[in-house]
Amino acid sequence: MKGLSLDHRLLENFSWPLLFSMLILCLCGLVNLYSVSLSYQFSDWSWFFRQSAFFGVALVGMLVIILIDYQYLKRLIWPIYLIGIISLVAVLTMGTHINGATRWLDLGFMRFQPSESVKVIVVVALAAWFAKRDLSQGLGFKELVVPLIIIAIPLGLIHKQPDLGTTLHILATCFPMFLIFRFRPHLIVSVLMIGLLTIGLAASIFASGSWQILLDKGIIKPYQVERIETMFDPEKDPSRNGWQTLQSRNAVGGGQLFGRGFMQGPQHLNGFLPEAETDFAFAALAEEWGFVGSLVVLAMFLCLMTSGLLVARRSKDRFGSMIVLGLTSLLFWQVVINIGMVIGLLPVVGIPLPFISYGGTSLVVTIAAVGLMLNVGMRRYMFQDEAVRENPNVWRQEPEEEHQGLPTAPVRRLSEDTPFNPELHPRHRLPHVRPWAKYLHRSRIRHLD
Amino acid sequence: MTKTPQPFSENNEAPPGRYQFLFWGMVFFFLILGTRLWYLQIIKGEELRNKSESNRTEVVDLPPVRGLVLDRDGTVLVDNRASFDLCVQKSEISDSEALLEELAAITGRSYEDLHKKYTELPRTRYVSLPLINGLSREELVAIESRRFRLDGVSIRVNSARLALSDVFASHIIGYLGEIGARQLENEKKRLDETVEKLISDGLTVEEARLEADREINPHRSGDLVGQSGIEQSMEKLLQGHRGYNVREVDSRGRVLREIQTVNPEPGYNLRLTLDSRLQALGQSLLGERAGSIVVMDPRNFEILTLASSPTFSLNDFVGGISGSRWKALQEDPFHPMENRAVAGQYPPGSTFKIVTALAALAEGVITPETTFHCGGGLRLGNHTFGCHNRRGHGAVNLKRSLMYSCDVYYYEVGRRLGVDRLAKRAREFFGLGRRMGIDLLTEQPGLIPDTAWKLRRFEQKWAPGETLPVSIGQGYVLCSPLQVAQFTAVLANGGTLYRPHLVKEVVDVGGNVVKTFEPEFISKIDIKPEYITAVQKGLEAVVNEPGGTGRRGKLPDVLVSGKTGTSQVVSLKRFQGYAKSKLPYKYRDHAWFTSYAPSENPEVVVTVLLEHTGGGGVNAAPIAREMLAAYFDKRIVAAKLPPAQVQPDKPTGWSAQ
Repeated sequence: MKGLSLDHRLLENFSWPLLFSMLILCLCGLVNLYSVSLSYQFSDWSWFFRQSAFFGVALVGMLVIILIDYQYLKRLIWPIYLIGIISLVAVLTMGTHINGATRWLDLGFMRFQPSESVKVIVVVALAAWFAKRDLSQGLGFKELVVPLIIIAIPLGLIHKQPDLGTTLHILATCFPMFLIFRFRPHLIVSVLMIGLLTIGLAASIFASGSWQILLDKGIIKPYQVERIETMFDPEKDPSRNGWQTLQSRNAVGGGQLFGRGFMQGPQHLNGFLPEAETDFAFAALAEEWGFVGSLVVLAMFLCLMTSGLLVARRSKDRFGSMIVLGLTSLLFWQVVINIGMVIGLLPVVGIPLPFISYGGTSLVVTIAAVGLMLNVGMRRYMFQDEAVRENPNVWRQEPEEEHQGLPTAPVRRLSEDTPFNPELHPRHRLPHVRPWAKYLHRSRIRHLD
Repeated sequence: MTKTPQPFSENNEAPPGRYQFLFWGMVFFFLILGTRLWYLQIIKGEELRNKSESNRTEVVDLPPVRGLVLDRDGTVLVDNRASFDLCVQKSEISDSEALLEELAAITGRSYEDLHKKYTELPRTRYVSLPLINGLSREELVAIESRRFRLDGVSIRVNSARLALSDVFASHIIGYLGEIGARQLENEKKRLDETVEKLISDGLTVEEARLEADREINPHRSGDLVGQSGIEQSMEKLLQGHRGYNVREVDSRGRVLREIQTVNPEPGYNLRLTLDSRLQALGQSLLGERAGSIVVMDPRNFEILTLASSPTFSLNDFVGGISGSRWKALQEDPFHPMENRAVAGQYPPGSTFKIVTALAALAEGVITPETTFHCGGGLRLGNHTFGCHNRRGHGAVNLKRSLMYSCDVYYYEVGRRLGVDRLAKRAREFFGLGRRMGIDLLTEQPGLIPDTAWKLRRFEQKWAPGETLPVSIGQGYVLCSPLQVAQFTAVLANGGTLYRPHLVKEVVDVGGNVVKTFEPEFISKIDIKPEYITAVQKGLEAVVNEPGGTGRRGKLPDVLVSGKTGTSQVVSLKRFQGYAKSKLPYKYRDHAWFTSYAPSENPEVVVTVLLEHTGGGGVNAAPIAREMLAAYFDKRIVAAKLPPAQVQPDKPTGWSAQ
């Protein structure tokens, strides 16, 4: 079978930094969770064990995802997208109601949060749609209609749950996927106009103080206003809304340069830090490991996302590139929103920190996303490999002449010794540097046998 | 430009700069996060760490147990007990009327009162305020069993003082009240001064703080402190040292571990010189009359009884006295809050003749045999100073002058002695005219006038005629009953003046004596002993000889000596000679009787003052006699006893008899 074969060339293009930064982050998360599990006086190990189990499951899942060629997704994604929509509808109709929101599906043995996986599904669906378009002229209005519908359906359903955090997260995630294309002039103009109008409108509403109308008409909920007010001034209401922000700020600040040390963080050990295992896991981490530890984690995330961007840039087709870009953006916004919330830059929304926060669905989905990114990255040459196997002389063929009547500038040819056809113009191509190539030496020899 | 045909790959239309743009955008966001982390953890790290430390630690105040007050036999006069207040938190109460009706039904108080008090309470969010002070045990049980129905109601436990009897020694014991702002400020000022001094002595700031705290032992806002009596003057001894407990708590307030505990030190117990049996008897003898009884041991000036009437109830002050009750006490024309025994200022009347006689003997103006003629009055200038006996006492020597309380004799003595020499001797022999430093802060100095005083006070020269009333204890002279008892005791013990005191011992909780108050010698009269004996004989005659004014003070078994006194409140002629009942109350004479017994070897001095009652020999002497009898016969107790207090390890309380 084509998909499952593990060619050594797959490993050659494997994005090891992506994998290792993810693994390190997962380990950081487990270490942190181990400490947080010991919070309250009864030592509750079950969190740690469950998360470890999920981690194992997720690794296996990732392996499977890596092995299957992502090209299948191009067609498979539409039924999956449909399933995602159906599950969102199911959540709204028969989901579990917790804390005033309906976000979970009770599957009997576990609770499942469909909006987590829908994020990934939307990204892949967008990529699949864009992959088929001819965007050589750049994005215009026509090309925007279907993607916006693809985004809007799940977005509307999630907004109904209600889950403002996830809604904004999906919007932010999709943004770079549009941004990566060239825009047609009329789109640029209209986007600028719309942007200016929005800013002007917001400013006028804010200046005239008539945003109360928005409250009255139910467009904004009072608790959302409260949360934003709390973000700016947490001391205003320290016992209720400001509690989380204040305590999390105390925890982070209490870490100082080198932190309090492993399992020494009083803010979460004594239970002052709310949700220390999920949304505020980073606060516990920052408290115990200090500025240095937080920076290390941030650097790991940066490494992961940079390698994601590299993979996206080097992938062989637009589909893969868009997938990786979308997933990188997904993780990036998740990290920024969560950490921003923890350190008091953003209002409190329920978005976990990937790899670090406790949460089975979230962990499995994020690791699966990384698996997909790895999948795309390692299959950089697979398609061409097939083609070359079928027709070894493909690169020697002259391109068909285009008869347009006018003489054209000569097309620059690739050098003969380059075995593959990079999708980018060499001028913009990244140098193909593989520092780990020497470790692949043996496998190369074995393959030659 | 033509498209580059690349047959096996889709053309990625991404403009080349976009990936770099995305990368730098990402880095920008991460830089924001990193900067904020740096701000929180490095710049504000110290402050936030302190915040999170104070978050998890909780300092619990451990108030000390206030020391007890015992009488000389060890009977507990003031004990500690818990008092229970019912507190409400208005923000938690939705239906106040139903709640108040329920409370009224449970406690049996009127709904209107509760409602009035409730509406007066401010609306608070986190604080409970007391609605009912001092719940009884039955009410407490009733409320506790209905707690699930009473939202917003809580019970607060306070420490309160439980007096053996709430009336019989109210003035001496005193009451507690919340500390005032000025006292707190003073303590703080003193604390700061001490700290500065200690720091300049070379201690570090921390050490100095600890040391000063130890020394000053400051109160906190809301503390109960003594406001009168022994509770006030011995506050430092009774108070004890507060302790504290630093604990680590979790977010729900559960205690995880104790970091540091400093146990409170209970206050010292005070053992008074007071004899509660005599005190109760004295108070009951005074009854509803305004007056005072002082019983003192002349050998060491220990005060056995310091009764003052009318009195007030200490229980009114438990949990804060109500405004109307306080107003009533303040506006009472008899001033029940005033401790007449030490703060009452009365002309001593004829009892002062003891002082005049001894002063004159010391100055050599008279000898015991000096005789003057009393013709019912002494003419000085154009004014005749009359004797109380208009017909005159005839030839009067010292003994007869005391026995009959002849005024003319002492006019003559005073005229020869002069007011300055009299005042000088009264001060140095008997410690009159100044505060003696008894352990009650309300003590008043009294007044012994002399020419300098007159000049200072009125800017006038002393008129010779003013000396004569002074020498019989009228005029400007003022003494408290304690001071009268004091000069009687000086005479009784042969001329030695000690400092009168009320506290015998300071005992710690373990029963060890921390400090004993020995009688403090002040002065001794340096005159011939036979002169003192002569005056003593005169006092003996007052009680025991047929014509003596103090015949009603005589006891069958014991030889009593005494001196009566009837001090005029006004010197107006038109009020003299009226029957007592026909005079307005405030113009009636004060009755004095001061005595000691046994005459040969005095053990006890009894001084009685009755305000506006009339003649001392008739009214005051019988009461003194009762007190003396009770002193010598331990079986005599007050007719109406205060409720006895159970003292398992002290079976010999006075109430047990």
